[in-house]
Amino acid sequence: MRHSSEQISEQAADWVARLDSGDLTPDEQAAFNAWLAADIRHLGAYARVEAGLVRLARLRAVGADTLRAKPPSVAPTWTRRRMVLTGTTAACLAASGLLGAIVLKGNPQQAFTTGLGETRMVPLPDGSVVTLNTDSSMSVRFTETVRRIHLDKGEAFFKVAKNKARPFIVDALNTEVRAVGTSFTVRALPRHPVQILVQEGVVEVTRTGSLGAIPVRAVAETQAVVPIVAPIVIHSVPRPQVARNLAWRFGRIALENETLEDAAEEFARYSNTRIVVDPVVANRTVTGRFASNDPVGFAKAAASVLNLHVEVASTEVRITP
Amino acid sequence: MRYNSVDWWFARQMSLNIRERAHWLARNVLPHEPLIRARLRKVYVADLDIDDVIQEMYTRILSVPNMDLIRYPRQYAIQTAKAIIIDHLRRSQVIAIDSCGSLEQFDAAMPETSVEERLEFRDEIQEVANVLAQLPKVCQETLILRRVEGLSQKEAAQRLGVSEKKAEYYLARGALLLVNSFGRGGKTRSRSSKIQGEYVNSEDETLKRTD
Repeated sequence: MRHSSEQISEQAADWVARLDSGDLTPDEQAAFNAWLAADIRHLGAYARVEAGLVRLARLRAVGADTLRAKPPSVAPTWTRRRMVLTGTTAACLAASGLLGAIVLKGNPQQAFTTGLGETRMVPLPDGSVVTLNTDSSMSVRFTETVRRIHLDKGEAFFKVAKNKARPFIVDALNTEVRAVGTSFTVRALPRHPVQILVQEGVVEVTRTGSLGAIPVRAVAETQAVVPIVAPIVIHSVPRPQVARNLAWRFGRIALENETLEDAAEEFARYSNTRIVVDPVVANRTVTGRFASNDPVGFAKAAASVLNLHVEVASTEVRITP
Repeated sequence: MRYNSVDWWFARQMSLNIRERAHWLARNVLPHEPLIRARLRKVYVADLDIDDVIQEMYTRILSVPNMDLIRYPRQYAIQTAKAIIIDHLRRSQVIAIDSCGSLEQFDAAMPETSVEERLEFRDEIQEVANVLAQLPKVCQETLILRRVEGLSQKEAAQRLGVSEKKAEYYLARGALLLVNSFGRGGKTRSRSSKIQGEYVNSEDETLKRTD
């Protein structure tokens, strides 16, 4: 079975930690060797994690106590030079710092938003990680007994750390999703029903606000759609499509035989530059991976493959026959 | 993407002294991963997963018998990534969209010793500390105990008050978040952050990326 690069990174990290804990049993050594040989990406993923830990070890020069005391203020020169962070990193730093401080002190709630075309990774204090897609907002409320997230709008990917005693609950519009340890996305877009895509594990989906609502279980590689009134629908999603639907986490839009019209709608979530497709060619289809923040690049690439024309204006790009 | 270009027996041998080779990767490849990812994002190729390419890139670099002979590691890494894309295009049955034009740019050379390449020791330390600080607290503490203080797993578990299995889990989780953050530009080098914008000054202009 072919694993995604993300799963491979996780396996690699598990092996690094396993090997680091002491000598392997002969069975474990055999399993490790088999794993290394199973896919060309495995050795590289493993060495990459090791390299990360080597880089970390440079902090020995600083000392553990300094790191614990006040991590981000080691070098006095930094305010002059590199205080400037990438958007995402700054967000993460701000987020984790704030969240760590606030949640650990028992403050009830913390909110996160992303602008158009932005994605943001938010590590949570329990080890779970949320990735917010473009134009999204959520609030986090953790207590001793429950981990609760409210997705106000947009889309988010949840990588939930296992803790049976403390369920992880996401609510969005009319829907509540309950997980223990799993990964899934919740999508709450205007004019669309809430959609839940499960990558790993199992979640329980409930329509909120209806009396005696029965939770529906959605397993890995299935999608649950929660319309306003009609019953919740679960259908299976092939693994490659799961990966495509998660491409946004890497700043990509992955299309598989999608019409130009649908592609234009998808790109509109990420940028103010609209793609306007001439109705005559709106049903032509396109396949590929594209930078989600580059509608013009997509339009040009699609036009060159489909033999169409592109006109670029300041706020829109037109695709015509 | 499945390739047979690496001799697996050889790869297994490599894994034996991988700790040692990880030092070379940490110094010469990992700091450039954000740049390589940025270039990969500009390439329009159907079904190309950036992380697949990155992982295979590390494997291919490790298959070089003597990595110390690689004189320009960054350019070598970029060319390795390009070779992977080309192999992917050759065996892919899906049409590549606009891949040729962008691939020409892919390994465009940049000056080997720009200002930002000669990261001062202190800057490097600061960057690593920043990335560590963004991890969940329990992962931070585990990483500090294990890799900064150099405690054994058993000792670290005792200090954390958790089982050894749990300590191992935190190390795995922390290591994964750490390297992903390094790879995705946990390096602090943007010129246009709204959040810390007040710290932008003219000196940063000299740190402009040259690509």
